[in-house]
Amino acid sequence: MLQTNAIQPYIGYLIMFGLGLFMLFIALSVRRSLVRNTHDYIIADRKIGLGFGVGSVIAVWTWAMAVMMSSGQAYSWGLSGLFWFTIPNGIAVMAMVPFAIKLRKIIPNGYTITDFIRSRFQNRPALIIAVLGMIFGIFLEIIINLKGAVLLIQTIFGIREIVVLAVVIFIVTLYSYFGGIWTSAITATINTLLITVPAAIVTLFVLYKVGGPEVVFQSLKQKDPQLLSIFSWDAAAGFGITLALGLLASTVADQTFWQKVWAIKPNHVKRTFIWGGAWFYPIPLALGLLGLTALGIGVQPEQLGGDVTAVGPYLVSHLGLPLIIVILYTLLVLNACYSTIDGAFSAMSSLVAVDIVKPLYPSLSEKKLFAITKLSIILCGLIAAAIVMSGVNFVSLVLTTYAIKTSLLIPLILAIFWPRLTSRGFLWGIVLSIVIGLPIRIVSGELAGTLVIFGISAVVPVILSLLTKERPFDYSLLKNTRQLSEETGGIGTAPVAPLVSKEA
Amino acid sequence: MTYVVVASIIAVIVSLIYLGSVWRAFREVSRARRTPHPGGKSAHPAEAGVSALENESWFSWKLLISIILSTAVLIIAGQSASFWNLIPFIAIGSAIAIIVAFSIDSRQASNR
Repeated sequence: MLQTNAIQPYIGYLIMFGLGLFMLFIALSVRRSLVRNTHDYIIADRKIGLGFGVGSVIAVWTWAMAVMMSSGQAYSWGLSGLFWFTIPNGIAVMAMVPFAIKLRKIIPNGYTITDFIRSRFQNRPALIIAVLGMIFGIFLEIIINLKGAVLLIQTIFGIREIVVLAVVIFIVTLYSYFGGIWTSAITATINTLLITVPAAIVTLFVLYKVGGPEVVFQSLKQKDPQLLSIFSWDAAAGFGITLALGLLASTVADQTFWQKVWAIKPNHVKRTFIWGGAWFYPIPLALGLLGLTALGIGVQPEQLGGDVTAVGPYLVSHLGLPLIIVILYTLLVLNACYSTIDGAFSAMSSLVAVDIVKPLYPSLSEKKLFAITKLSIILCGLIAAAIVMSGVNFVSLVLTTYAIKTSLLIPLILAIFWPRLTSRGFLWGIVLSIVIGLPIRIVSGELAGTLVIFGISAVVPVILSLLTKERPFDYSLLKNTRQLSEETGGIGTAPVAPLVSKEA
Repeated sequence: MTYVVVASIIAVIVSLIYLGSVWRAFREVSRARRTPHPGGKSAHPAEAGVSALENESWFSWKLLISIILSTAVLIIAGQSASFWNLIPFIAIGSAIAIIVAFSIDSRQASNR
């Protein structure tokens, strides 16, 4: 049944550049119409509606790797793998709702989650670790998506890794540079169309090509009936529980999502994240069928080079499918890659403007701030490209980033909802959970390490905060946070800071 | 093959409506940016709609329903192969949901 498709590499180049040029055209149109200053660039004047909100949340959350991993987990574990991959992913997006509502209410003029940390704690080490966590997280998003693009293009078109990396990073950096979050929201909404619709057609064509779902179903049933059950404990223990906990940290402790919380019109915040999570579900559900199909027709892990994530690209390029179906699948994964990277760039630009440049140079003119904000995207692209192209094994980067983001989650939740949380509790909760949890994670595995990180990051802040006699934090002080001044066009960070420390 | 053909036809129709919705929303946002607010000062969106959040509950039945339905899809997929051909159509449903989201935006804009 399997055969190698002879697909010319130039088609891969055409797809990568064609999609990039299309996005660049949109970015230039967006820039001309909607972006006048830094405020527009990083927060879209807080005017993103429900359509662009939901479209961009789905696209940003649909990582290139996730597209392929849904097939990969279904291939590895059967339906239980697909269940444990899909359900927590949607929940992670919808879990943003309580935090988003609370922070949008108490800081209507917010820009970044780290700006909230600054105003809430007035503690430089706490702020630095939070900013680092966000920056590492953003780089990780970019790098993982670049790897996804490489895996896809290499498997299907045989183009060299370094060339794919250079092309993708150049294209996305170029169009992200022009429009900031407006570009990100609009291109991501189009990306969502180019992810969802091809996913349906490609999956149906693959099922048809292998003789229909009945063939796959019966084959799986004969191999192991457990493959057709979602209630396998192996998948839960193997990756499901760890993934579920990690995914929560990936949204709640991620500036990519917080930027949207403050950029979306307030009356659409809740609905955007509920719809975003709910309508994300169909994507892995559909693409998971590719993994089940590969399993059913007997694709061996050795054929995938040992990486089950490659099962989707492998199947699509070895079934003798029409070229248009292969192109649709490539577009699907590349769209997931481009949209996540441009969302990450946009989040990075807001961090740089609000949390790094403006606090360091408060009197910087709007013109200079705008230029630096835009240049930060190019710098970010160059650093990400350098990391990936250096050939460095970024397992340690992934581990460290994961540990920081996981350790941030509970202290961050406490900071938002518990007025008694102190800066010491916040800081030491994060630091101790990384210092103790990360080695345990390396030695004893993901599940044990993750549970330790969560445990320490929950217990330490609570104990340290209860032991001190500081007055509870008054969230209403944050309402005074200034935003972009209409006269000067500058960004206002939290002037409430001294008030907070004095009252405390 | 019938499923592929039907899906392709639906996909083309949905894509055209989707892109039309994106274009219309983009035009509306651009127009709103160019139109000065009465009184010469632009509206302050950060505060303008925050009152809408005051009584907003974080809970939503749609959250539970989406989780239950997605789980049900997987359970049914484990029972019958004939259902597998319908699952990919839900992905087109995501695009339709975004079209609905744009129509809500448009309705709200015309009500103002």
